[in-house]
Formats: sequence, structure tokens, C-alpha cells
Amino acid sequence: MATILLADDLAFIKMIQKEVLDKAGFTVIGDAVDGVDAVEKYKRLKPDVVLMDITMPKMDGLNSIKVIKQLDPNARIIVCSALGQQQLIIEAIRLGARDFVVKPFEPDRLIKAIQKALK
Amino acid sequence: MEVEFINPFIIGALEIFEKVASIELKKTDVKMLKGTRPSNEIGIAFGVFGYIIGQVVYSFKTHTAERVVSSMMPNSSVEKQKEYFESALGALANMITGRATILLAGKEQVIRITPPLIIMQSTTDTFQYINSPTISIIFTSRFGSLEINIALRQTK
Repeated sequence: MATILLADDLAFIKMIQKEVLDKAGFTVIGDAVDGVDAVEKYKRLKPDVVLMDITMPKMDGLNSIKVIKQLDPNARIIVCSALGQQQLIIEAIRLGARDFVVKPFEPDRLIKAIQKALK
Repeated sequence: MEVEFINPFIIGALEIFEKVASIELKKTDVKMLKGTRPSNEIGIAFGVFGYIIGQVVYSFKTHTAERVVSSMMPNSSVEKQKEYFESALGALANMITGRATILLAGKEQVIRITPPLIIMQSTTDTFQYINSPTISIIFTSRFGSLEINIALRQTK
């Protein structure tokens, strides 16, 4: 089953995401508290998919996507953020994100985004 | 401080409380303040930058915040609700602010926010509130009131 890395500074969001992913049969392989941590955990854990927040301390999610895509151009990253502004969605996709899920999310929307990224 | 900054936060608060915590809010008052310092014990503060800059501070009384978190995690134990108390409030305020920024930014502009900073009564004196014209929106719910203090201005 596919492995997922959760990157979000808010533990509550990661707890909700993990509940949704566990029910759908995915394996949450690790979690990161900021963009720097996400890069480190990506290198170490090699997840199939990263769920990436934008607003995080130290390094934001967009810069973290940039660094991870430099390390691994095939990285599958889905942004999951409350900041669903059109320009930020365009920027995330330009940097290589596969999808952009706006918080609060419906569980089905998140699962479908991951399934699509894995195809 | 421009009046058109108010409605997106009202819309965001009503929508997100309903969706995330099944709580119906009612807007009861809007007033002007000299700064963002909240009148309740628990505050959640965001810095705003980009097309619009400033600060937004959400606040609750402690018992209201506890009941809101309980409503966000209805199937969790009291211990788990305590464990996630601060991050649940941060997530709630983050989603309201995020919803408001979508409405404020439109198609062309970008508005970014800082991670939420949770201010408890013991830390309120160390936090740097903005002392500039602030619009304060008060909502009531079955669990008590929510105050949103907004001090924002357009950069160009």
C-alpha cells in the first residue's frame, strides 16, 4: 500500500488526515512540522506521496516543494492548505505539485487526489 | 482600515464554524478599537502580508474554546481533546483566515499569512499587538462568543 508523508505545522490537521488515510488503507510513514523537516523526512523515508501545507515555520510549503523536486523530479506532492487563492494554486502547480486540496477538505477529495497522483 | 476587509472574515467564520465544528454563529456587533489586543483569555494571532498587510486576532473565553474544540473532535476522549487543544484552535482560525484571503485576493493578488500563534493569558503581555485602527467583530454561539480583531491595510 502507498506510503504518505504529512507536512503541516498543526498536529490537529495531521491527526485528521491520518484518520482519513488509515481508513482508506494508506500508510502514513511519517510527519513533518515545517518545510525543512519535510525535505529531511522526504530524503529519509522516500514516501510515495507528500501532503504539503503552505503556511509553515522555517520554510514554507512552496519552497519545500521546490527543494524536494530538485532532489527528486518524480516526487508526488499534493498541497493541502487553507490558502486556496488562485495565484497560489497556479504557483504550486508550476512548482510541480500534482493537486491542491483546500482546507477544510472532504475525505473523498483528499483520497481521490492521492489516488490520481499515484496513477 | 478598509470596511471591505470585514465581510470576508464574517463569511469565513460563519462557514468554517458550521463545517468544522457544527456550530452556528451569529454576528452581534461590529466596533472600532485602537488596536488588536483581544478582550478574551485565549487568542490566536496571524500576521498578514502580501497584497494586504497587518494582523488578525481571534479570541475566546477559555470555557468557550474548550467546548468549541470538543465540538471539533466529538468522538475523541477528553485527554485527546486536551492534547490537541491549541492546534485545533489554530487550525480553526487558520481555515477562517484562509477562506477570507481567498475572497480578498481575487484572481490577481496574493495574500500570505504566518502560522497561527496561540496566546494564553500567561503569555499575552509578551505578544506584540498592533496599535492601529482595528475593526472588531463579535459573534455569539451556543458555546459563548468569538471576537475577531482585524487591523489590515492594502499595500498598493
